[in-house]
Amino acid sequence: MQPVSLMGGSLPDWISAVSQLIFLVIFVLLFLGANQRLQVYVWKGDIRSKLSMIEWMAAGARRKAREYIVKNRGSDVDTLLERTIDFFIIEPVNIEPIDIIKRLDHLFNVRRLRFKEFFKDAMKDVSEVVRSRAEVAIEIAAALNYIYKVVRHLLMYGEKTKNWVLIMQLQLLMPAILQQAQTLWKAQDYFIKGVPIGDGAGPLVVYRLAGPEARWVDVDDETVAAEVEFEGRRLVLVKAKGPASSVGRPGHAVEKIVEDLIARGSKPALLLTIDAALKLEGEETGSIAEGVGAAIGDPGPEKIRFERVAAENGIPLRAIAIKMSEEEAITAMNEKVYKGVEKAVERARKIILEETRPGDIAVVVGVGNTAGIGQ
Amino acid sequence: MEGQVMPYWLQALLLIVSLAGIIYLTIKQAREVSRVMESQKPPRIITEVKCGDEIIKRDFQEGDYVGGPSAECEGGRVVGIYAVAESQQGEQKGRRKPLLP
Repeated sequence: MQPVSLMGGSLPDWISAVSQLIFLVIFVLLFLGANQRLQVYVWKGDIRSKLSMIEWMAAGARRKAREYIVKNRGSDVDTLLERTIDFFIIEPVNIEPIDIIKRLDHLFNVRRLRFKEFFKDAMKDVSEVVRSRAEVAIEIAAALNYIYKVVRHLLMYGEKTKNWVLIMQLQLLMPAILQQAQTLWKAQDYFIKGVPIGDGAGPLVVYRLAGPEARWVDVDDETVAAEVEFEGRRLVLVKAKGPASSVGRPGHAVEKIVEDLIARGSKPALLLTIDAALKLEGEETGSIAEGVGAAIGDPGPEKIRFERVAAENGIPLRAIAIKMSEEEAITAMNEKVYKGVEKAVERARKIILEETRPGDIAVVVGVGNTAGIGQ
Repeated sequence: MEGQVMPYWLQALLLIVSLAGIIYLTIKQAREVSRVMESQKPPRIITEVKCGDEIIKRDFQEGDYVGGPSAECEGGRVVGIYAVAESQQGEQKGRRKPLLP
């Protein structure tokens, strides 16, 4: 058998020549950064595919929010969406920390009252509960829209400035960003239906401590309190007003209650806060931990009120945390969290019995979103 | 004519490799999208109603809330609402009747 002759050379000679040429071209391209360009091209493709999923979720969330408002006889829905979906809060100046909490609190109050007005105008004939659900539905749509816009911005900016490090970082972050977007997307349905979420564990513990016969009274905006007796102690229980989707203003409410009690000569012997807490990977959902301090995850204005009122009056500030993941905190309360609530009720009773005496007053606060949990 | 044998062979190989790569990436992408869709399947939500000393479990109905009334019995009250874990939900497939204590 003679080797096949091709233009004067044999087939093996040609294969060898072409292979060497390809190798040489690849070698030169490596020096010119072609490998990086190819890698960036793959990363960009991956980011774009995930970005299209986020875009789809953002559009879906907006559509669902719109449908819910229309279904509940909302008027001028497009204007409402337009005004609320890109609504922002500018952080107060922090290089001058004096009265920063007061300024932050003021901004949050203005935002809260503005939103209430927006929704009252658009949904006149419905209950506060329905309005609160519409508000959260739009907040979730706004959050997804924001995630979409930020990722798109980073991708486009990375492309424009040929910043492959930025694109690489974004590609590495995309799974976590996508997971967060998915969580928000799933959460919207539960808020619209009024299903209690994991973050409602704190209010549910307080509801259990109060029992179904407790008489609840409004103490602050969207915040209620009840007084019950437990083993000779007076318990003042505080939670957001349900079953609307609200976290209330527990710090403001507790400040008022404690100051009122002290003015009447009955200083509380214990201030106990109960909240959902983000677990570390590997920790069991629904497990309980206790500690000192204010168990509340707000940016400051509520938390500082617990700390100030406790420190100024020498009241022990105790905390119970019910562990869960971020996804579990904002989606339907699962069975593990639900069982954690029972454990937290027992732990709260134990702390009250151990740290107060008969005749004492203990203020117990269930911190968290009380969606689907009434009183 | 014989000079065209090698380019055809190389082209075919390149084509097969490229196609395999595209198919692999497409399947990978499709799996990712289906995973997102899969995670959207809602879990079963259970409502616990207290009737006297008894706790009745049933599927969640819109309008239920903890502390709210329930039509299961006179004076019935919703005492808990939670989602059933996915593994448990899998075991219960095919029998979506109300859970009885």
